[in-house]
Amino acid sequence: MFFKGHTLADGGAPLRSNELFRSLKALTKEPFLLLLIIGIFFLLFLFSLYPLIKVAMVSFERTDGTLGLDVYQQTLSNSYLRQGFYNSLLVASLTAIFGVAIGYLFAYTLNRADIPLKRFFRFVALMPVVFPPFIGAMSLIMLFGFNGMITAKIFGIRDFPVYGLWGLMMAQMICFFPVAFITLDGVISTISPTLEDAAFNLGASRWQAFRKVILPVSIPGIASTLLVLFIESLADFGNPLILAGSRFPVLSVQAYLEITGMYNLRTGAALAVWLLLPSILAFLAQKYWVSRKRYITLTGKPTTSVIKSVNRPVKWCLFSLCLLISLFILLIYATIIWGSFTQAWGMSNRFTLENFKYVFDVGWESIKDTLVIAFTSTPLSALLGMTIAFLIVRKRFPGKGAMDFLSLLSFAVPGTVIGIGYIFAFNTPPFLLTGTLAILVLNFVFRYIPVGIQSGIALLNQVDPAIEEAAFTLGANNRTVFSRVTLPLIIPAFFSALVFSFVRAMTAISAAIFLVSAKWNLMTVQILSQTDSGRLSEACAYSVILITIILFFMMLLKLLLRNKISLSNQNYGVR
Amino acid sequence: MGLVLENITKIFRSDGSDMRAVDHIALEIPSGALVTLLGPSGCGKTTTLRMIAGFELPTEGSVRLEGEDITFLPPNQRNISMVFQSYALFPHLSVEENVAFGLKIKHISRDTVRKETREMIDLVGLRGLEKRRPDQLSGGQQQRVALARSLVMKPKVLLFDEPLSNLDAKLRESMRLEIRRIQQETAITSVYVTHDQVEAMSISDLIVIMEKGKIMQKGSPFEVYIRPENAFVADFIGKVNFIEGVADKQDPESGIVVSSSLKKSFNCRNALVEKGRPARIVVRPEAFSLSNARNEELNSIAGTVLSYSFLGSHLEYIVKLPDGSVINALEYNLSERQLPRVGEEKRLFFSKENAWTIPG
Repeated sequence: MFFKGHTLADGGAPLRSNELFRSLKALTKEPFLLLLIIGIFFLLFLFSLYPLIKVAMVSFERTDGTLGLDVYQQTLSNSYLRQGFYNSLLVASLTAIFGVAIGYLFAYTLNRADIPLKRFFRFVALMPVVFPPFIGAMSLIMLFGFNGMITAKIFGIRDFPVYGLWGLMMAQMICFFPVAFITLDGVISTISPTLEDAAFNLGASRWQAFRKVILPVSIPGIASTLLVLFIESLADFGNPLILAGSRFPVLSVQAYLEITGMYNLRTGAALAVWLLLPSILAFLAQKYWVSRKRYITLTGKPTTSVIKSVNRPVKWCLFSLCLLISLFILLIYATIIWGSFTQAWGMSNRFTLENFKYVFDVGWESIKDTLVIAFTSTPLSALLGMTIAFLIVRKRFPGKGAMDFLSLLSFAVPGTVIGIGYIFAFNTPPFLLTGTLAILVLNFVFRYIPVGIQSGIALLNQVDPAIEEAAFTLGANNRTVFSRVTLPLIIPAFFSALVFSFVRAMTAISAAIFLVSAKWNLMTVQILSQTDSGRLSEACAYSVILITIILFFMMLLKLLLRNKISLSNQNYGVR
Repeated sequence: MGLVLENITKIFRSDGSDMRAVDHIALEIPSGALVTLLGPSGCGKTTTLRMIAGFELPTEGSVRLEGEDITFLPPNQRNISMVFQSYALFPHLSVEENVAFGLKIKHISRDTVRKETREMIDLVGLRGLEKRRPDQLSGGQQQRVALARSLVMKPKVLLFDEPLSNLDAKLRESMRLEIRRIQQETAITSVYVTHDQVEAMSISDLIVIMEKGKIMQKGSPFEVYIRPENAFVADFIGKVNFIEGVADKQDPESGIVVSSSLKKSFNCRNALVEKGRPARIVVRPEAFSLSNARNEELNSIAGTVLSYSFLGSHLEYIVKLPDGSVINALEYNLSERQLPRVGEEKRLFFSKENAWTIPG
C-alpha cells in the first residue's frame, strides 16, 4: 500500500473566514452532498477515531474516577513491559529493513535482469497476499520447531531458536515482503531505462549507473516502503502470538494478554497507546513527508530500450538469490498443505483426511460466520471507499483534509489497538455492539476502506474531471454523477478494492480476536487457537480450506467480471 | 441583461501563497450574444468560465443570470451547459445516450427524449452514428456530440472552453463556422474561451481580452483590432508595429505624434493620449505600402530591408529603421516584379487613418 501525498487543490491551505462562509453557503444548496459529508464524518469519527479516544480515556482513568498518567509510568517501570516496547520496535525495524531489501532484490531483478522464470517469481512474490498473515509462523514451527520436520527429524536438533527474534522476523518477512515487492516493483518499473542509457553514454559503468542513478531515484520509494513495513510489523499479532511467547514479549501480544488474560484493562489500554504512537509517527512521516519526495521519471514518450543493466555473472547471482527465496516461500506454504493431510504433525505423518472432516464437524459454524462477515463488509467497504475517494478528489468542502486523514488513519492503527478500542467503545448503550455481527462487520468496513480509497483516488486522478463536470452541467446532481458516471468509470478500482478487502476480511485476526464471540466466530481465530493447543494438522486443514475459499471467490469474481473489466480496460476517458 | 459578472475575484491558495487568478472582473453579456474571453494561458479566462459554470466559487463578487443571483448554486441547478476542450464525452455511453443523458435526468417522457435527441443529432450532422461509442468517433465528430449534448438541454447559457484546440487546423475552421451557425440559429447566450485570436475574431459578437486576471479591453472584433486601448491588446490581436513618440495633438481624426528618434512627426488618429504625454502609434503590417508614390496625406519612413519571406500571396518584410527599431510590413499584389534585395533601401508609407495612437 502506498499512500501518495496527493495535493488537495485548495483544501490544503486553511480557508479564511469569509471564504469558509462562502463555501458553506454553497454547500447548503446541495443538501444531499452536505448530508453525505456530515454522515461520513460521523461514521469515521464513531468507528475510526472514537475507539482510539476511548482507549486513551481508559488508560487515563484511575479506579477512583480521577484522571492521571500514572499507568504509563507503571508500564515504563515494569521491565517486562518495557522489554515488549523495545522488542516491538526492534522487530519492526529489522523486518522493515530486510523485507525492503528482499523486495528490492525481487523488484530490481524482475525489472532489470533478463532472467528466466519471471512469471514464476512474480507469482511467488504475490502469493502470500491471499494467505492469512500468521501462516508463516505456523509453518516455521512445523519445520524448525521442537518437533520440526527439518530441525528435529533431519538434523535431530530440538532447541533450534525458532521462537523469538529471528523466527518472528522470518515469519513477518514472508508475510510482508509482498507489500514491499508490489510498491518497489511500481517504483522500479517506472524508472525509464533511458536513464541508464544516458548514464552509460556519459561513461558510467553498470555498477555506477545503479549506485548513482537507479538507487537514488528509488530512495523515496524505499523510504516509503520501509515505513509501511514498519507499521505492518508493529501491528502484526498472529505471528508473535505463535512465535514470541513470554521469552520474547512484544506489545501487541502483551496488550492482548493483559486484557483478555488478566482483565487488566488499564494496562492493556496503556500498552495499546504505546503501540499506537510509533505507528502514527511512521504513518505521518510516510504520508506527509516521504511520499511527497517522489521522482517522476516516466515521460509520455514510450521508451523501448534494451535492458542491459546487469552483466551475466550478476544476472545469475540475482537469479539464484530469487530462486532460493522463492523455494523457501514455496516450502513454507507446501508445509501447510502437507500438514493438513497428516495425522498429527511431528508425531505421525501418515496420510489422512480426518483433519478436514474435523474442521467441517467442529468448525462449520466459523466457516459460515467468516463468509457472512466477509460478504457483508466487503461491498460496504469498497463502496464507502469509492465514495470517499470521489469526495476527496472531486469535491471541495471545508474539512476535506481531515476526512482524508481520518479515512486513512485506520491503516496506521494496529489492529490490536482498534480491537481494544472497539470493545471499550461499543460495550455500553447507545452503542451496545459487543458480541454481535455488526461489531465485526463495522470493524472490517472501516479498517479496510483505505485500500478502496487509495485505488479509487489513483484511478480518479487519471479520469478527466471534465467528464463529471459535463454531467453536472447537464443537470445531474452529485448522486447521479457518482452512480451513472464516476462509478462506471472507476469500476476496476471498485473491484480491486472488493477483492482486496475480501481477502483482508477473510484473513483478519489482530482486531477481530477481541470482537469474536460464541455466536460469531472467525476461521482465523480458530486456526490460532488450534495452533496454540498444538493441533497443528487441524490448523493446517483450516488454513487450506480458508485459502481455497479465498481463491475460489477470487476466480469467480474474475470470471463474472470478465466482460465488465475488459470494457473498462479500454481505458477510454482515462487520460 | 442575460449574464452579469459583478466584480468577481478568484484567489487560489496553495501552501501559503495566494494566486489571484481573476481580479475584479465586471462584465455584462447580452442575451443571445456570443462573447469570447480571449487571452494568453494563465490570464484567468478559464477560471472565469468555470465560475460561471459553478465549478469554482468566486472568492468575492457574484454571478447573476437573468436577474437571479446564482453565485452559490451548484452547476446542475444553473441551466448552463458547457462544451469542454477534451469533449468530456461519457466513454461508457453511445452517441445517442450521451446526447440523451441530460434529458433523461429531467424525467421527460421517453418519446420526447427520443424525438429531441434525434433532432439534435440531425442538427449537428451525426445521423447514422447514433450507436457508436465515443472512442469510435473522430475528434470533430466527438466535438459535435459534445455540442449536441449541451444544446439539447436548451440551456440559458452555453459555455465553450477552448472547444476546437484539439482539432487540426482545417477542421477547426469548419467547426468554427458550424458553431457560429448553430449558435445564431438557436440564439443561445454563449461564452467562448479561447487563446486563438483568429477564432475569437471570426465567431464573436463581443471580444473580452484578458491578462493577469483583469479585462484589458472589451469590444467588437472590429473595435479591438482597429482601436486597441493599450499595447497589450494591440499586440495580442494580430501583428503590430509600434512607433514610439510624444503626442503633439490629441484629435480622434487628425492627431500628431512626434518621434524624436526618427526626427519626424506623424499624422495619426489620437483619441486617447493628451498632448505632451508619451504615445505609441499602432500600425498593422498590412497598412504599409511600399510604393514610391509621394503623397502629402501619407506618413513615410525610410529603412533598409533586413530580411523578407515570400509567402505566395504576399511578401513579408522586416525593415530596419534609422533609430534601430524594426518594422514588419506586408506587400500584396505582387506582379512579376523582381524580389527585393537584402540591404536595399525601402520607403514605407501609411495613411493617418491606419495609424491609431495608444498611451506609450
